[in-house]
Amino acid sequence: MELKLVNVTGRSAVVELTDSGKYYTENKYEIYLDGSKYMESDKVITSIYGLLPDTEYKISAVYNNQIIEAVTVKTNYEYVTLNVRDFGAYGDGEHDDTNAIQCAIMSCPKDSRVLVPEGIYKISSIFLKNDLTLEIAKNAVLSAFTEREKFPILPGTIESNDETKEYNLGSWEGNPLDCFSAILCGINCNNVVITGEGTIDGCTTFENWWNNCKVRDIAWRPRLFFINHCNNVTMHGITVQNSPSWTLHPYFSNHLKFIDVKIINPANSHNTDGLDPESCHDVLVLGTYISVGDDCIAIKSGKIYMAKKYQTPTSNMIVRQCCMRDGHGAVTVGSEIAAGVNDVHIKDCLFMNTDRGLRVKTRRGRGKLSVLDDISFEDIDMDNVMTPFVVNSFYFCDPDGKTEYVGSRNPLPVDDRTPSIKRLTFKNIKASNCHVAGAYICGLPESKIDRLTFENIDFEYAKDAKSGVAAMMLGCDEGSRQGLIVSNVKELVLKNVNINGCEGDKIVQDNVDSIIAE
Amino acid sequence: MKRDIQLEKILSESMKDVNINLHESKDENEKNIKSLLLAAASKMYNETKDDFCKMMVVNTLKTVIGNKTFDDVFTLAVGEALFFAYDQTADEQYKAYICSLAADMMDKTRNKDGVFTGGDGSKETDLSDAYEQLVFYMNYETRFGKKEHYSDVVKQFEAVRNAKRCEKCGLYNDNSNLEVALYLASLINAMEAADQPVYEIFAAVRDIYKETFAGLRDNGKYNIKSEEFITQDNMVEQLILIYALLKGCRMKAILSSKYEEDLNAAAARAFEIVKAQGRTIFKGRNDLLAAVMMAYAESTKERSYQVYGRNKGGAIWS
Repeated sequence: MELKLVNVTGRSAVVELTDSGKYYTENKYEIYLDGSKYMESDKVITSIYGLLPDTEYKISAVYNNQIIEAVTVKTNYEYVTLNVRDFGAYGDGEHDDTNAIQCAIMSCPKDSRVLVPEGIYKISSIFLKNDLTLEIAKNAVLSAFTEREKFPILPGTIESNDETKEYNLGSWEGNPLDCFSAILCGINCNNVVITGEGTIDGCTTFENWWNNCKVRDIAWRPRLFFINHCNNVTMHGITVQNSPSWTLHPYFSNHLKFIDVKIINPANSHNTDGLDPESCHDVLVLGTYISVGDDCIAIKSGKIYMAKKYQTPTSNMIVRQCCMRDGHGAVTVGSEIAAGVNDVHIKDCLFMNTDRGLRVKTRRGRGKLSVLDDISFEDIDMDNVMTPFVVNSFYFCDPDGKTEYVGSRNPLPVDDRTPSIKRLTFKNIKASNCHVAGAYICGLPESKIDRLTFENIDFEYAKDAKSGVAAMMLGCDEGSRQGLIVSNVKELVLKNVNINGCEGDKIVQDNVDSIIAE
Repeated sequence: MKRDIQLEKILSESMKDVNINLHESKDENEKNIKSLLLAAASKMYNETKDDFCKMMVVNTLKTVIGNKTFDDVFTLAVGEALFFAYDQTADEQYKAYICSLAADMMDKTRNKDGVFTGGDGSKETDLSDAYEQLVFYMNYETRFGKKEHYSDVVKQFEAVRNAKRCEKCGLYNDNSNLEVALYLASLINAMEAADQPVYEIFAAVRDIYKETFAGLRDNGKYNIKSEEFITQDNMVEQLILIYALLKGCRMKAILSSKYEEDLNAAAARAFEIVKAQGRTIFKGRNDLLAAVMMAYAESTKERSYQVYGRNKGGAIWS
């Protein structure tokens, strides 16, 4: 067990107490700063605030009376602090503070920070810029207006003057469509840090953005946070809540970190995914808590038009020490994955009360560039998850989702519209209080899943297991206490898989070419 | 462009001169022109709210239905009028005829590649097929067909393109200017009918539209600033072309900043010719009447997002 430094700003540090648990430590522990007790923590990933810039600190811990050796941290240099109040922000929950905060941001020089101190700041859309640290302090709330007329629009595409290219700004569910700009928005920005103990509140209710939300009204709904073609962006510590639609939506952006972020939307809210990286590369999600009304993390790469045009998968993504709860899927891949997803690893996480734990959703029509490969889930604890593992290749989304083409269980010709799934690995996973099924895995008959590995998996069912539909596809019947249901797979590897309490056959397989069981 | 009340009066009076009864057409060509005129009337109604335009469409279709001659008379070309009548009256019988036409269309002969052909199987697909049936097909799929055959609509458009477009020069050399103009109109009308969230379908048709226009532009067939671009002799095809391109500007399929001003100027020249001659210019010329109405309705459409888009649901073609 040791302390590792995982992030530092001018005013904070984030440490990880390794080998101490999954998201929560098994026991509370104390954190010491330069020898003095500073705080207590019950989390593996802990943020330490209130530090001074350009200063060296020794951070140590005591866990179960054991002294954990200190790490030395030097906070970042900071030139100036721009307090948004000095730029005219009221912070009184009434005045529109958008311009004042935007003025502070645009005025911020390199190696400096814009500070939003305690208060409630009403805003519409705030835009980030290069080389910016935006700190939202404790008890500071960026509180969004909900009148759509206050929000600017990001056009889906703008044609170049030579009529050979297009410039894509807006996005909606994998297509380049007009949308309202996000509450916090970044376009072509580099080196941005959003940090602090404060909150960004979308203030969404069923009386505003969530009302009739499937219908475009002027433009598609804004996200709470949207970055387009940005690099080196870190979001740390803040709480984001009540988002109009997907909460955090990084889009064609690289080198991203989400550390100790809290993402909270009501469980019955519509399309309020927690974090949706779309066509992004090098993404780290660490120590983040997500409780939302749709998928907690949904990894995407656009629909077929964007995939053909830009061919940008989401790749090189790590999710560690996170807690996902209450949503539809804890970690979902899809459904907009037309450009593929690869090299994604989820580790040391806690899933609680979600409909599905690890969920892949795709369908015919996503296209031949939609290749999912090298996706692993390891060292996960699940509790009260309806169906821990779901791979659904017949997901009935989009206007043509319930057509014969999407739903047919017969093999169709492989063509340019056919997606594929290569290697999925599930390892060292404990799933307690399952309800519907242990796993429901459906590849396409004409394009089977290459290799599916279950290793060291324990399934136990809830005493009062509820009935439900394991996957959102035509022909998936309601059931409970089902075992592993697997179809259309080339190679199924089962090593030390323990299924306790299921009704009926533990493993139901159909059109599986080879099973390696140990 | 601002509304031109004098021109509207000429058009309105000229419509009253027309024998629009579809079953009284001497041949297929006349029936198709009348269908085009009905479609043009629907567009005029949408912009001017002139009830005569609306009733012209509704009453014409009612006459056919009343005569029970719809099996002979209702072709796909009258599809746009049927959709308009359904939207205006909510009368389910129009939907029934639309679905019946769609069923007949799906029964049509296809070649081995799945492309619609003529009944004898030998006729290759042509630009006229796009205007006469593919817009209807896209509309039907969006409204009633659950978009199940969207890919097939694109396939049919691509088949027309592949069969008739010269790869070297980018032109449709075997087709008349009128056929090319109607083809461009079919492409933009199909884009309008497509459900935009199925973006790849919308974009596929858009790509053919842009490519077709680029062929005209890059081969000197789009000399819009010239006085010869619009004359009394070529007004039908040129006004339909103007309609298709103005609509493309509004729907951002082509750059409005580059093309819209010249298109409006050319349309204005045509409208001045019409006003100078009055109703007599349309005597025996239902095709010209339809073309003027189409171009006029499109040119007067509100094009500002802030006014049109915000009040109409967002997209400037919604």
